[in-house]
Amino acid sequence: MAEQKTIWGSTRYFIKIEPYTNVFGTSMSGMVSFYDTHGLINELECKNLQEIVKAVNDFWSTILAPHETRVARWIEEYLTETGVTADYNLLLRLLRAEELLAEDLEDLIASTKEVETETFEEAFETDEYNKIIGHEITITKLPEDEYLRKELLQKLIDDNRYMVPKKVKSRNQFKLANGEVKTTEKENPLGFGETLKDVTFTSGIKNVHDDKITEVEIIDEMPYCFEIENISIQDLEIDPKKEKKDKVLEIIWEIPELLPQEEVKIDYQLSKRINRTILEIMENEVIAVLNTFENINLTGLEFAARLKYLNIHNRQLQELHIVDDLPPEFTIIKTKPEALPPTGIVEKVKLKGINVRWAQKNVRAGQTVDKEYVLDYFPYLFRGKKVVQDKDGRTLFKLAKFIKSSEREMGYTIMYVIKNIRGDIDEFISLADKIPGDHTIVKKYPENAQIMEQTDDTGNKILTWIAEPPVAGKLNTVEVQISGDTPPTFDLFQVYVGDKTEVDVLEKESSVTREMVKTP
Amino acid sequence: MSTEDKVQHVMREGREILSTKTADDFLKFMERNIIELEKEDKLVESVILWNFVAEAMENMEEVDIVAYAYSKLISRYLLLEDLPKAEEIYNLSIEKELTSFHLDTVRTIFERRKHSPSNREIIKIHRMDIFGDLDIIPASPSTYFESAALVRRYIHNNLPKGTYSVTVLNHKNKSKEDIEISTEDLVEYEVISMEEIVRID
Repeated sequence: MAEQKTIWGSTRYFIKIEPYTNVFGTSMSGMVSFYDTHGLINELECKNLQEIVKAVNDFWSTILAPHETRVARWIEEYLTETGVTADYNLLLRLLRAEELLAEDLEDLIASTKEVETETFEEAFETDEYNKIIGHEITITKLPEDEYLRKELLQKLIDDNRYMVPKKVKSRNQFKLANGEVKTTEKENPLGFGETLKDVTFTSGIKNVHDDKITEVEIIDEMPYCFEIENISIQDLEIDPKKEKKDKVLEIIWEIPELLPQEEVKIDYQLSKRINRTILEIMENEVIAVLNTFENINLTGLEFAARLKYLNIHNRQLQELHIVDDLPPEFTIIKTKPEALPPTGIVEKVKLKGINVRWAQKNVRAGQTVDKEYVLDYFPYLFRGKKVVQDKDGRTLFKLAKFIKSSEREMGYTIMYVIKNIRGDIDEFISLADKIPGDHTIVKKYPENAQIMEQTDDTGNKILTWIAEPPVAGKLNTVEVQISGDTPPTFDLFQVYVGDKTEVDVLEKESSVTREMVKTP
Repeated sequence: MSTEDKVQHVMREGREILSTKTADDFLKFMERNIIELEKEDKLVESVILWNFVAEAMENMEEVDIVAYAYSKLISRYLLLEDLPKAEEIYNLSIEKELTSFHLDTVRTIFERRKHSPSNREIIKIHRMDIFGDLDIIPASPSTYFESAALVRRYIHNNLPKGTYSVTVLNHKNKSKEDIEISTEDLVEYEVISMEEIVRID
């Protein structure tokens, strides 16, 4: 937790810096707050270290005459006290430099070209339908200045880090009765599944023409950052062809014909991979950049990932830099070998997730550099809200469901809340919710809350909370502690008012984001 | 070169930059030279040059740079312990409706140094519930605050933890402002969010 610290030479002014990452560097962002003895004066969110340094210096020179070396020393001491190892020389440089050196760095990159990666895939034992994306970058000259060199390598890593898409492109092709061939293309959004790691995706086609269509082809362009766990295409017995392209795996479905109004729906169950960026620095200013996509496997109650690297070049690498971006749903329990600075750094970035950075010098030809991660879910919170309206569009009730993992034992807590908006309904309200069949209610609060348990046809348990409607504008709440060694079901509940239930869903929205929230 | 000559020289070169380059280039040049003077404790010269910057930028209607120059002027007059001049610039900055992060910071510092009379009153407090709805809660009348920062501190210290929207009446210029503030202990979560609007007959 960041604390206020007095400005040297003043007794009544203080500064607080809250860095958003534990790794010092020019990309470090954070919040800078200024105080006097009365309290907060102002605060500024800074996008990078340059802005942090400028904010502190501007405030400092409002109180006292400008003094760059003292400001740099003060920031260095402050960050060190908060557990971030800072570099005085870089701070001073940023204070004195008028702007970042982005343009100069761009000038150092002479050329970038894509390269074939089959030999890497063989050496790294990449799965049949996984891929390594490769680029070769030529640098006019590797800077001798250590700061510029670090900045350049960071820029190359940032420029080449894989961005996880939110949508997947699908292309359809078919022949009309008159022989004309039609093609369509659209992007479908990805959805999240029943567990945090899983992602779902649906594609397909509907014949909207009056005659049958033939030679139907559906091509889904699956990014390599997802592992396909399962595919279903209704009850059709078709296996797709898979073709590895540069950036995506094409899943190609061939359907002989579709009758008018006939529809085919394809459901994918995907899981997220670790996105790895590798920088291999050769001696002659050539840098190879590789993007690999690594599977995360469930082992017992945790998750594990084993990542392989082999220097396949027939010469020693000057430097090897690896950055592993974990899907934001995960946190690291253990790394093997242990990540110890300066060669291994676990970076935790506020609201963005975790990445692990490895650096090694003089990597021999044929040398392997393997890493293992033991992972668990990052603390999650499910927040489901339902607004119940009558047929005239007037809001009657608002209902909410929150799920959070238990801190001390296996399982989780579900909290249900009812808010009565109009207050003119006195019938009982019921919330029917689903939990996995092998999960058990351990405790409820209040203890006299009326909750029934039943098992449905699929073996899931249905919990039904029956409650009196609260008075208008007030809340009625129940909390249920559940034990179970698998993740909960992240889904909304069904609402009943008396014996009437939902007849229509007017709007629906879902998202997964990293947020700073109050624990409900 | 004497300090006086140096000031004249910087102003002359500044004018030349203004006629050929951008306002940002002009500011960069001026600030670099002013910092050099300030390092030698030449604060009076700094004030002369910041006045020059403010005037030149006002003519060019570069409002952001004028606000920046005013923030520097107020802080320099404070360093020189010249409170009447600081107040003059402070009042001018309000009259001209200038605003920027740095100017707001410096104005708050000035207000607290000057112990200027309180002028803000809380007239309405809304508290956010679990559904994000804002419910009005009673506000104590006749409590005055000298700045928005002190309103925030009052909410932190005197109201139960929560997320608030506070309406403040500034008696000085009769304007109302809404301050959003959360005093909750926030924790980082991976939030899976689902929202539905459903109809019941």
